[in-house]
Amino acid sequence: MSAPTIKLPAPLFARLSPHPFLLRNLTSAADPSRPATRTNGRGTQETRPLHAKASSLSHAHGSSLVRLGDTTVLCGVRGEVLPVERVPLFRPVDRGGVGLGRGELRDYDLLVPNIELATGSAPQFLPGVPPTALAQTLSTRVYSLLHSTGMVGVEDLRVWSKPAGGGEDTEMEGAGEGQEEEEGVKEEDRVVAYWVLYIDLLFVSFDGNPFDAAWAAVVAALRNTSLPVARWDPEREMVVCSRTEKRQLNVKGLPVACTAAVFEEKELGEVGTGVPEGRHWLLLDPDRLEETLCREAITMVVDCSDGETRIKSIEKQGGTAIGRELVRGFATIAEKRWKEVQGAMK
Amino acid sequence: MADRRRINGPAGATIPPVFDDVSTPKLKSPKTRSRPPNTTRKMYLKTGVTPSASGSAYLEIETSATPGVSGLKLSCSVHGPRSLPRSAPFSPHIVLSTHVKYAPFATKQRRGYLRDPSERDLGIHLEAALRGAIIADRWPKSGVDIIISIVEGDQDRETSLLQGDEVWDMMNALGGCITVAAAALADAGIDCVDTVAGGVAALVQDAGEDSIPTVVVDPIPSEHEKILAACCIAYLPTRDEVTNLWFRGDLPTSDIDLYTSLVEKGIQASKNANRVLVGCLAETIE
Amino acid sequence: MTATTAPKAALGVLPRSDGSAKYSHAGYTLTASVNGPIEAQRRDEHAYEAHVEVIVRPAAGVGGTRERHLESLLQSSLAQLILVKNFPRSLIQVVLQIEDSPENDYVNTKLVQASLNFAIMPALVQTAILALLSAGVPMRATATATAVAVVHQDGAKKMVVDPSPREVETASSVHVLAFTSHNGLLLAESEGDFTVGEWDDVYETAKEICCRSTPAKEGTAMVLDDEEPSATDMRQFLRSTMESKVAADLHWK
Repeated sequence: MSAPTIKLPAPLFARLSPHPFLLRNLTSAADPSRPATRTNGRGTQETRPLHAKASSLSHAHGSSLVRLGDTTVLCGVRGEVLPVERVPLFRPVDRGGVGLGRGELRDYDLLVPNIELATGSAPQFLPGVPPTALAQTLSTRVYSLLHSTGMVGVEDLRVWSKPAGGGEDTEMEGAGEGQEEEEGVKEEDRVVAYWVLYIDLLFVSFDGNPFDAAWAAVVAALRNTSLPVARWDPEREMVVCSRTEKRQLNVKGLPVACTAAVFEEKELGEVGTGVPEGRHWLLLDPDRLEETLCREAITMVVDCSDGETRIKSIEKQGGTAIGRELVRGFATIAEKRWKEVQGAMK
Repeated sequence: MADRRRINGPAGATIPPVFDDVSTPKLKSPKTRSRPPNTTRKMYLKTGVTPSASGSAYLEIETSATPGVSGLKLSCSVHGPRSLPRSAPFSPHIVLSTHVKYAPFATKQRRGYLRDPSERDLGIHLEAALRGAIIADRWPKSGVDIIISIVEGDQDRETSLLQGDEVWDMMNALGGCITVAAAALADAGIDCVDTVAGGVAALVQDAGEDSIPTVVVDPIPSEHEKILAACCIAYLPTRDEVTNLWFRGDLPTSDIDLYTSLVEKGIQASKNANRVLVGCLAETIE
Repeated sequence: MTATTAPKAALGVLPRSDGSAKYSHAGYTLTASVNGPIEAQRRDEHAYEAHVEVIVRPAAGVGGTRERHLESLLQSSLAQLILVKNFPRSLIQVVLQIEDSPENDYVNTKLVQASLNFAIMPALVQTAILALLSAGVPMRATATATAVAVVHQDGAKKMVVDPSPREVETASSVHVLAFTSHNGLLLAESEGDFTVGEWDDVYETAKEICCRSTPAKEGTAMVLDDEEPSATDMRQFLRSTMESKVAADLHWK
């Protein structure tokens, strides 16, 4: 006597019991020699292709649109001027001197990245609420990575009182501005203002792996950014920008983020024994369904633009399935991803 | 008070770049309209941009001929119908909640993350426009969220001075919002009596103070010397009904028919938008 | 530099919470309180397991995005350690108050709003674990964590355990690793510029500190001689702290 079988369409099954659904997909016993496939038809180590389109917005100084499968992010970079008088605890820098480099960017908050998920990009992100913990975490990670990679040099963001390379005519100009009384420093070339880069990210559509997509969008937008040439107008005592001249921002390197999640056979599995119990799969570039089922995730940011693979950041959390060997092996996967993304960024 | 849930900029306020107008020759051509007075701009509409939402659409209105003037870009997602939260009072029909937000990089001035009154205004007008189109009593005790992100506003980048154009920009934005929301609602499979679309018409004075004002459709503020009045209309073509009418500005009292012709032109613009909308939806079905 | 060599800890410092701990190491002083299992708020309620809530409060001001990030890291790690399935529909709340952090002697410090502060991670993990133990929350394993900075100095590479803020600033890369008491890698956070080989070395160093083999035997003293004196055995420290607390609680017997 066979029990009556109920046929459920796949999307409904996925909705009702997602964990067994994904598990069955990965362990389809039909042909053990075949590599495991995920619910979205990808192999475990298969990523979604990344599409990047630069300069899609006209009001921003730099912008990009990045599509990673069904995850779509829009990034706009906008420069605004911060006069040094408005900087608390400002420390003057002299030209030629290296200054504090990273310190200036960080201390004066010259890079301001923010991620907005609440655009109806997925059913759980509805507007009208303050940023979720996820949005805040993502913003912090982008902020932190922007500083630690040193992609944007502070030299590009400084505005000097004298135009660059104009050392000779200092005398002449100085004579004309006799009335300037600034505690005897009138002759000196000094930093008068900084550009502050507001990097705003808007998720149009969310389908998992937000960090990789967001970071790719930030990198693409920064590479696309050109700020107007700014100079100090001593008569108006303000910074004015040229309408026609623009300068491309120098972006150092091309760090690429690569994320994978660990799917464990045992739902809500036991951890902590060192050796993972049951089987587990490393799912590269997880989508929204997979992200809800995985607790452990690893993100590695690599940069191979100098020929050598340099790791810029590792973030691994939420479990013990990824040990030393997997982290080491993941570097190779991240390297492969870097090549793909580099191709897409061109 | 700084928002501690976001990364804030420097403590001292930053200034948007100020351009030196002296050194550059006047680039701007005199304000002329690049299209005939009764022609709308081309628009591009696509549904299904946000697969995780019940319905979604993207609208782009063609960049006008003037360089540096961006077209309107809107993205809309619809979530629902879904059950109302337990705390909400009983509702015999569907509860619409509309949300319009400019992206921080959408306009000349950087927008904040918190909604400002003009964005709330747009949301209220949009809700009124859609309420007339949806068959609301098919879903008692449920709600639907309609969220529009204005990715890029309809603004002239070259004009550095604020000329009070925002009001008219809002009209254009609302027209686009209505059309894109209708497409997203259809994509979500929410029953409507008809496809509603937005259209804008304006009364403009192009040749000096004393010239005779003319009525144009789909105005771009930077192309006209002065806009006296404008109206945005949400119109259902098969029923010949107007669900929302937003009028702003001053009409000369001498001509009573002016108001009627303005509304008629608005309806004409709305019909144009509707043709695009229907075409887009028909394409999706195929 | 304020870095003290040996960590210090006290348990049960807050009489009104279910469990608490005060911990100070490498210039950081933290107090943690644990309450739970208590009734969960409706939106946090989970039908099969306890919800673990972690709140990090900075020494000055209110928490920002950086604290949210630290919280999410700790939350995902602690939820793996606590036997959450024993307490369905309940809440285990861990509150960590940073009391003191080492000053950066060289650069004028300001309230950095969002950048990650890696050096504080180990202290957060340790304090949270101690407080959880003190509250008697059942756990699968304990965890220990440490921070390692790779400093390039005069062409030579050097590993600095528990780096000071100044060292973090000059280091080429900073790493935080946490291990469970079963030697599983629970948390790995790295930032800077490094290679796989360097990470491997860091892993070795961190593992040496976090998971030194079994409690003190006669061999320990010998091993210590070879090591830098600052390299403390975190697992041993955790154990001895608990032992002394239990001994103090039971001294009336």
